Amino acid sequence: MNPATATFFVLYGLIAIAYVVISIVFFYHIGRYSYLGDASKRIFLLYTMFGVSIITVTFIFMILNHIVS
Amino acid sequence: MPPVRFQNIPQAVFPNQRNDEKIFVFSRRHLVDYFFYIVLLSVLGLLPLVALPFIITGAIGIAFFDPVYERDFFALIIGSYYLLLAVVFLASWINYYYNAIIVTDERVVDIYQAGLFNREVNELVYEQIEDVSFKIKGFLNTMFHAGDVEIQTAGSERKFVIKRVSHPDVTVEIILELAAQAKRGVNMAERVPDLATIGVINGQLVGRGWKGPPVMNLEKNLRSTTRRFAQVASEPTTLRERMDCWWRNHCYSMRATFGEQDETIMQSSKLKELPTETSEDEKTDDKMVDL
Repeated sequence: MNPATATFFVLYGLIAIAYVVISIVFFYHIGRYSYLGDASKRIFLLYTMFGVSIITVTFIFMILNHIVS
Repeated sequence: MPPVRFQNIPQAVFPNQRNDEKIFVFSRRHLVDYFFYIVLLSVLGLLPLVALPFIITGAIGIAFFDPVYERDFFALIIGSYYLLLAVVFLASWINYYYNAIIVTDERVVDIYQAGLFNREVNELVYEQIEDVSFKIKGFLNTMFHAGDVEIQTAGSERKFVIKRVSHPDVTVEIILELAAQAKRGVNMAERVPDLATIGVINGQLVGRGWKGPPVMNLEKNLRSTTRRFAQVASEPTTLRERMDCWWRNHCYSMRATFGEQDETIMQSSKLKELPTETSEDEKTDDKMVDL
C-alpha cells in the first residue's frame, strides 16, 4: 500500500476510534441518567446508526476511489 | 414450572421516587429551547452538500495533491465533519433533554443538566415553598407557550428557576395548590390539585378525570419489555436481546437506588433461573406471566 494511502486510512481509523470512545461516554451517560420510557435509547440508536453509516460510507468511498483509479 | 413473575420491575419515573408517589407535572425543557441547535445543525449539515458539486467539478481543490489523494482527503474531511456534527448533536440533545421539572404530591424536583458532566438535582418540599411565579419572555416562548418557573423558598435567598417549561402558568398553579394543601396538613396520599387541569406531562395538559397520562403509563411499556425478557434466553445473542438486557440492567440499577436492594437481588436471582426455552403451557397461557 502506498504510504500516502495508508496515512489516510490510519488517520480516518483514528477518527473513527475517537468517535467510538466518545460514543461509549455518551452510552454511559444515557444509561446512568435517562429515565424510564424516555427517548434516550432511540436517540442514541439514531446517533450510532448515523455514525456507523458515515464511517462505512467513507471507508467504502476511499477503497473504491483507489480501486477505480 | 412456576409462573415467571416480574413484580419488582421498577415503575419509578425518576430515582428516589416513592412507590406510591404521584406525579402531576413531568416537563422537560420545551423544544423551543433546542430550536437554535436544530437550525444550526441543519445548516451545518447541509454545508458539505452545497460544497460537493464544487469539489466534484474541481472548482475547490488542493493543487499539490494527486486527484486520487485529493478525493481521499475530502472524503476524510467530510466524514470527520459529519461525525463531529453527530457528537455535537448528541451532546446538545443531552444538555437539552435531561433538564426536567417533576412535581409530585410530596415535592418539586428540579433537574438541571449543563453539559455532559455537570448535573444538579434540587428537591423542594412544599413546606419550604414561599412563592411561585412564572415568566414568559420572547416571541418563540409566547408562540409556543413556554416560560420560566421561579420558586422562592423560605429562609433562603436563593430562587429556583426552571427554564423553558411547557405551560408554566398551569405548572405554577399546580405547585401553589399542592403547597397550600401541604401547609393545611393534607396527607401526601390525598393531595390532588383542586383544579380542572391536574397535570402537565411531557407538555400535555392532563384534565381531571382523564385517563392516565403517558408518563404514568410507563408500566405499560415495561410490560411489553418484560414479556420479551420472559421469552428470551438467559444469554443474549441478538442485538435486540442485548439491548433488552441493557434496558433490564438499567431498570435494576435504578431500582437499587430506591433502597430496596435486597428485594432486587432476590429478584435478580429469580431471573437467573429463567428457563432458556418456554414450555408449551406457558406459551399458550399468557396470563401466567404476572406483571
